[in-house]
Formats: sequence, structure tokens, C-alpha cells
Amino acid sequence: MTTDGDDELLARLAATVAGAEEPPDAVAELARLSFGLRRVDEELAELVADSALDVAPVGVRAGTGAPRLLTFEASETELELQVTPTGTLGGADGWELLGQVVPPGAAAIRVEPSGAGAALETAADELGRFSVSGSGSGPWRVVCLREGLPPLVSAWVLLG
Amino acid sequence: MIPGDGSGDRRDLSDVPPGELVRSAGAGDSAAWDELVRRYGGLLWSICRDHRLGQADAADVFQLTWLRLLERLDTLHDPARVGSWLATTCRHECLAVLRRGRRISPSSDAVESRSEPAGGADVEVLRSDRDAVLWEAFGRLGERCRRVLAVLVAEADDGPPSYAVAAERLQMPVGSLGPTRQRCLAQLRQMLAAGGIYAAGADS
Repeated sequence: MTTDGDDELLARLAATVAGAEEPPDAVAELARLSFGLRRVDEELAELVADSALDVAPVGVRAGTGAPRLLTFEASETELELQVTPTGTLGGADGWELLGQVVPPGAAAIRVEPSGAGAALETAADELGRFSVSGSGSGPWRVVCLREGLPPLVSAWVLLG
Repeated sequence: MIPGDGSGDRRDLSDVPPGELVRSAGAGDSAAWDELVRRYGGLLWSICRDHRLGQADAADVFQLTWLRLLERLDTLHDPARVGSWLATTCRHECLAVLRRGRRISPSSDAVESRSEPAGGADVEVLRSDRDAVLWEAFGRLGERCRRVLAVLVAEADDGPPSYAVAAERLQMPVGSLGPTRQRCLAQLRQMLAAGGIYAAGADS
């Protein structure tokens, strides 16, 4: 004996299933493989500020490639990243990163893609500053390795 | 949603509750992670598409959402509600992409967005919210009920499902299908009542 409520609920479920779309195989596969990117026992520097989510100021021109400011915070360290799109509009997803590690100090810097592709490697000077250019969509993160300090691992972000 | 014939050398984790999957993945079990992606991938992809993201943006948000979970495996407040958490996170990142993609031209006030403009997508997003709530509740059902309901839904193409066909697919006696359907839908209703994605207390 089914109730009207049951019929309706099943119909809702059917509608949800009908509207559902599974991810493409390659996309799901990438998500499965990303398990290998986990860094355990390391503090994550969370994204605490992203200027791209602020209200656009009046007068900002379209497509000028204005830099985006990202701030990542861990308990005792901070990473500031300025992201400037490079390349032509609608062309390659290129970007230039200008970084600042706080507290300032020399560091080895790795900018890691989540998908295929090599990490970008550079170094921060004694003031903690670095710059690197790259391209590619998908999530990226920044890892800063400093003498005598635990690694600073930023949260993943979409740069493109 | 219907478990396929798993290959013989792969564990079938479709009956493991979501909280346990999160804990296992946190302990390093990649099969548990795979099951999470399998179980909630469709929900997340649908959310991305319902926000009218193009394929590339949807793929980016999809990947980012899973990476966010990876960052939080040990610190999720309520691992059993990982479905809610994933859906909320995905939605947040979809909105962020839409926001970042929007460029305002002062001369014409024209809005160019990398993904489609949100105007007509409002209805889609609302529907997406309701769908996501239902799907997430569905994900908390046991595997048997998920399978029964999925088959009943699949067999209900143009009207009431053929119980005979459904029973054969499920390898159940036809007579027990009705009560099983009722019991499973009651459980689904319980899951919905227990609160889901946008209920107060869901993980932020």
C-alpha cells in the first residue's frame, strides 16, 4: 500500500536523477588521483582574503588584467600573493605571481599544480619576496620551505 | 547511483556510511576516497552545471572542491554529513568563479562573464538546491535502499514502475518490493527531516 506522499517523494527523486549529470570520466579520475596530493601533519595556510571576491570598484576597466591579491594565514606565518593575468584575453591562462612570505626570510618556493604538469620552482630572497610566471587552469598551491621552520603549505586556489 | 558489477579485486564500499569513509580516507585508505568521489561526484557535477559553469570551469570547481575536502579530512566537524559539506563548498566555489568571471565595463554597464550570466540561472540554482538536499539525504541511506530506489526510479520512465521488472533486476520477490519501497522512502523522509545541506548546524 503506497501513500500519495511516497509517490510524490519517488517522483521528486526521479526528477533529481533525471536532472543529474555524472562528471566526465577524466574529471572523476583526476579527483580520485588527487588523494595523492594530501600533505599530512602540516599546517595549512588558509585563504583568508581574496580581492577578486570584493565588490568591483567603480571605474575598473574590463579586462585590464588588474592584479588579484590573495592572503593565506597559518598560525605563525602568512603568505601574500599578487596574481596578474598575462597573455591575451581569451588566450592562454597565463599568470605572474609576486609573493611575500611573512615573517620575511629566504625560502625555497614550489608552486604546484593539482593536475598534470611540473611544479614551478623559485626562491624567496632574504626579505621573503619571490616572483614566478606560469600558466594553466585548475587548482594550484604554494609551498614555502625554510631552514629550521615547518613548511608553509597554502590552500589550493584557482589562479586562471 | 546503481552500483555496477565491481571488478573482483576491488572492495565494494558502497555500504560503508559516509562518516566511516571520511575517517578511513583520513587514515590513508585511497579506496575510501575513491568511494567518496563515486558517491558524491554526480551531486557536485550537477551543482556546477546548474550554476551554468562551462565545462572547463566546472572541472576546475569540481577538482577544487575535492581538494578542499582533502585539506579537511581530519578536521571535518561532522564527517557523517560530508555530502552536505561537499555540496555547500561546491556551491561556494561556483559562486566565486561566477564573481571572478564578471567584468563590468563602466561605459556600457555590460556584464561579460566567463561563464553564463546568472540572470536566467536563478531558477536553476534554486532547483539545484532542492535537488542537492534530496541527493545528499539519499546518499545517507544504506546501500540496499539506494539500490532499490534507484532501480524503481529507473523503471518509472513514463509512469508507475513495473514492479515485475524492478523485482527481477533487484532479484527480489515481487511481493516484498512494495513494503521495501515504503520502508526505504520512509527512511529517506527521515534523512530529509534530520536536516541537510542548508540546515542550521551543517558544517561551514
